[in-house]
Amino acid sequence: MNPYFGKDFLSFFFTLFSRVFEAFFKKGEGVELVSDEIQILVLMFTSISCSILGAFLILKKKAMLANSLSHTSLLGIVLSYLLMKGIFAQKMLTFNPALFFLASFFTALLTIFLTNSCKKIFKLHEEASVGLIFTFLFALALLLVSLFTKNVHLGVEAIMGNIDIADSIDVKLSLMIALINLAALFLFFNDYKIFCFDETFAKIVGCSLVFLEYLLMIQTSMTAIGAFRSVGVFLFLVFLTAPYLAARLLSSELKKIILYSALISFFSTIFSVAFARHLLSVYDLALSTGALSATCVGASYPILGSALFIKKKILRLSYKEKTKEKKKEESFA
Amino acid sequence: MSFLELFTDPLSRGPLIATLFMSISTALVGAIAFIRKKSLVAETLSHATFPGVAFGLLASFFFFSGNDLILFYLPLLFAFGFAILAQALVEKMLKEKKSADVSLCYILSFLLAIGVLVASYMQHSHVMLFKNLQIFFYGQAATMHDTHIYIYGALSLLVALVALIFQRAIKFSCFDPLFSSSVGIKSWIMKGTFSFLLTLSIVIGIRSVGVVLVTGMMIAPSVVARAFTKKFSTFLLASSLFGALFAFLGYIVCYLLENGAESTYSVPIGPAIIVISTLVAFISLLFAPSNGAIIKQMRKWRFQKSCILENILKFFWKTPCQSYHLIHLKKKQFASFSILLFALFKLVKQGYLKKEGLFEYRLTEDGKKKAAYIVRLHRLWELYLIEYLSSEVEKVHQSAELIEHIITPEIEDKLTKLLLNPKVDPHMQPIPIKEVL
Amino acid sequence: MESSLKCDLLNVYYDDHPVLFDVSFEIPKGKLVAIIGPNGAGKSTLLKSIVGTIKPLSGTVECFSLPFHKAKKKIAYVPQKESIDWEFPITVLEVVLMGRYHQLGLFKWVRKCDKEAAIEALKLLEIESLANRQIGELSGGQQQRVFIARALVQQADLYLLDEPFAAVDAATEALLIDIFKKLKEKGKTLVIVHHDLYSVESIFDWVILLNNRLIGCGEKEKWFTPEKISQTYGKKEEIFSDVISQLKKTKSGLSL
Repeated sequence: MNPYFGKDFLSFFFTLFSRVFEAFFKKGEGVELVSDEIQILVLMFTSISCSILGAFLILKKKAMLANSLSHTSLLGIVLSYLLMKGIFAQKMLTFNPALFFLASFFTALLTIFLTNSCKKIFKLHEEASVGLIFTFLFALALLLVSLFTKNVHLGVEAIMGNIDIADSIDVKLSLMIALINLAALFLFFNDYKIFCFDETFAKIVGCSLVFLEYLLMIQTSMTAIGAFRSVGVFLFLVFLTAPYLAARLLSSELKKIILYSALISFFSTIFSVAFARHLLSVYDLALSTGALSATCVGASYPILGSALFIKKKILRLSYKEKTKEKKKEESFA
Repeated sequence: MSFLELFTDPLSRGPLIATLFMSISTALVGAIAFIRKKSLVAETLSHATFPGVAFGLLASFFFFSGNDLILFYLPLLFAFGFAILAQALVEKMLKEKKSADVSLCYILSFLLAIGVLVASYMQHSHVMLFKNLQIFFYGQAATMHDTHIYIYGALSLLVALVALIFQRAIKFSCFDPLFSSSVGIKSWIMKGTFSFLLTLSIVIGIRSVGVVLVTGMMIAPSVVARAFTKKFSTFLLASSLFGALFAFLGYIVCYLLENGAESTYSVPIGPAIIVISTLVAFISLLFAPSNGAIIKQMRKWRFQKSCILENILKFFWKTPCQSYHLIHLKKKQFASFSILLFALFKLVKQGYLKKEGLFEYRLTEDGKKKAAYIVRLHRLWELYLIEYLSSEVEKVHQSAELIEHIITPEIEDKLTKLLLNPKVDPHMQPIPIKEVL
Repeated sequence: MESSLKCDLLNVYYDDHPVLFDVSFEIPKGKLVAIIGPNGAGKSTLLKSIVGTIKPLSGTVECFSLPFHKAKKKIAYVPQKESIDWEFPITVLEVVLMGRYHQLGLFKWVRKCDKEAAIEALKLLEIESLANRQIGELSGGQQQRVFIARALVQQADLYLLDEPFAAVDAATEALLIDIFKKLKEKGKTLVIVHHDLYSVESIFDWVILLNNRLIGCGEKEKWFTPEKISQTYGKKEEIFSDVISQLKKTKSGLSL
């Protein structure tokens, strides 16, 4: 029985904190994760991955390339699904780490290789190359889906995700991806920074541009495919972009931006899970938690932006008031 | 059913003709976007239409009790509105100095998230509306009927007309924005026109191929057209025609697969069109007569081959009465063995060498003249480098080794005139006179 | 003569870059060299070919008698500022610290000595007070000083600079000239693409005259003469232009 069942927004947090305390004191004995907590964990780990990736992708102006990868990863998923079905005759949504990595590598490599070939060999401009390749690979994936699986749900799941049926395997998967991204951040922070800021300089001081580009893309496609289950491959783009944009309003230091974006993303997702539960309990409204969390994360940027704007206006008004008063005083003196 | 019957049969003509109209307008607008290097804006706009359609469907249900006519038009209107909204939001972000890249990505994913959220509400509470929404997400050309032909036909005609009227202005504003604004073509009018066309064509497109695939309809036809023509108006026309062609081929493929003799496959038309058009795009990029990558490579190889042939002739020319055996020639390292054999074969065929015995070769009279001509070009160039370009005597030979293969008869004429028909080169070697071949 | 930079028969014919045709020259150590020539002469292309941003079709480049990739650590390159993202969240100090990349350890963590070296460089460029400012907040002259500071921190022996004086204020220009001269006195070699003919006399001691091909390379007294300058900037030799465009088309595989 799910302890969050029937809880509204505030009691959700009560339950959450009490369960966390319990787990802490009992050292995790006899505590089983329920679906809401699984959702929180999966979204938390996804937030971490996307905050790390998002900063570098945006700074390197590869956000639309991440969009491209999110589409082409469907091809990777479909091919690995066909492979699984053919070789292992397994249920689609069972997690198989080897095939997951295979799908990620294959997707990233294929997309980047084809896109770069279009730019270098055919001299097609950036946007056309990206657009041509990803629509092609995505359409190919859809054709394969309709020809071989007759399973429309694969397409829907990939796009919309279905975090409501996430289980502990997904927690492990998203944790693993988060750890990989953290490791990459730790090892390559300065390299990525130089690579994103000044590619020419990076090349001259000895960074391997090819290595860094492919590494970044493999991380992205891995995160995209991992997010396929939680929020769907398209919505993970919100997690990449919105937290960075919001955090950028708060700081100009790259390390802090990444940290703030992870925190913003994390709190937005907890809020959204609680809110989803609230809507279900109080209004009997069953919304997709994945979409709700994507919307909340996405809204963090305009909300923060407006808050800061209003604060600036208030400060300016009060400054005007103060100078007016000062002038009055001076004119009386 | 014959091809013509597809156009008249009431079941097939809806999907076919409506899709044809749609692909003409998406290809046309895609061509303009391609020239402006803004192909990916369509991606953001098409994803933005999704929440528009969702809200439109809800509005028609709640405010118009699901009237069929309203249910048809309102979602399209909302879709249009949301696409315009998306553009406004992107503009706002650009003003705040965010890069176009992140602005497009953020707006596209955020609006899509809102759309998916509303969709999830509809999935549980208004299943019929949800199914309607799905049609716009994935496209469903198969269920289009005559009304669609008229509506989308009319809209596509509108797009084509606007593009035609503003053709010249569009051309100038794409290539030379400063010039166009100086002659009075206000850039915001052009931007607005382009915006309007883009949004309209996307809204037309989402019904048959779905939100996600509209971008694909816009890029490939332009890529194909670009490979064949550089003239702007031809390019626009060609893109539209290719768009229609690919739509037609896509439809045929789906039709054949569905009515196959052995097994039937139900394949959605959108992906079929895109796969076909991209494959054709790759073929054009590789093989187009002027710009195809493979064609260019073949020309490079042909040039390399002619260099080898000419180098061999030059070698023979040094001792014109001597014949050489293949083994001796191999040592001179003109090329690998097989290429050398082929080159010698070619030279014999062209009449510049004659074969004496199995692998002995000797220069013919024609060969002598041809070789002399190349040496002439080599030495003229060396002289030119020294007298007019102040090069050093030691360095000119290497340059001439390359340039001798490139100098055209016109350039040779100019050199002869400029250098006053010289007789001797910088190394005191005689310059062969020009003989008629 | 100990050579710092030597190019031999460098050829670059790509369609979107200006052409370099059989460029050969050698520069001794400890010289302040100006590369001058008209627009499209290939001056930036020359520097880019030396550092490897553009791959030449043929020819060799040697720095300090070693191939470029072996001598990389002794070379600093400051390109034109076109492709920098000024909204990037990075401070002046962080940009300058990038110059220490070679010396950083496995995880590329910044040490105290690196920071000190960076601040020293900022002091030389008189922008120490701007160390913690975002680069987007700087003026054109200040931005140029940051990139020069980054080059200084690399402690190179050969400096390649592409139009360092473009769009900078007079104070910055004077400061940079002073720094370049001091570097020369220490025995460093500087090769600078320069656009202003009037200041060549006062700043540089060697010139490279370039107009898609080398017109001349050597002491300014010998080569920076009216005759040579008019040859560099004068009308392109018609036949040479014809041959060059033929060459480009052939090398790109376009139909003639």
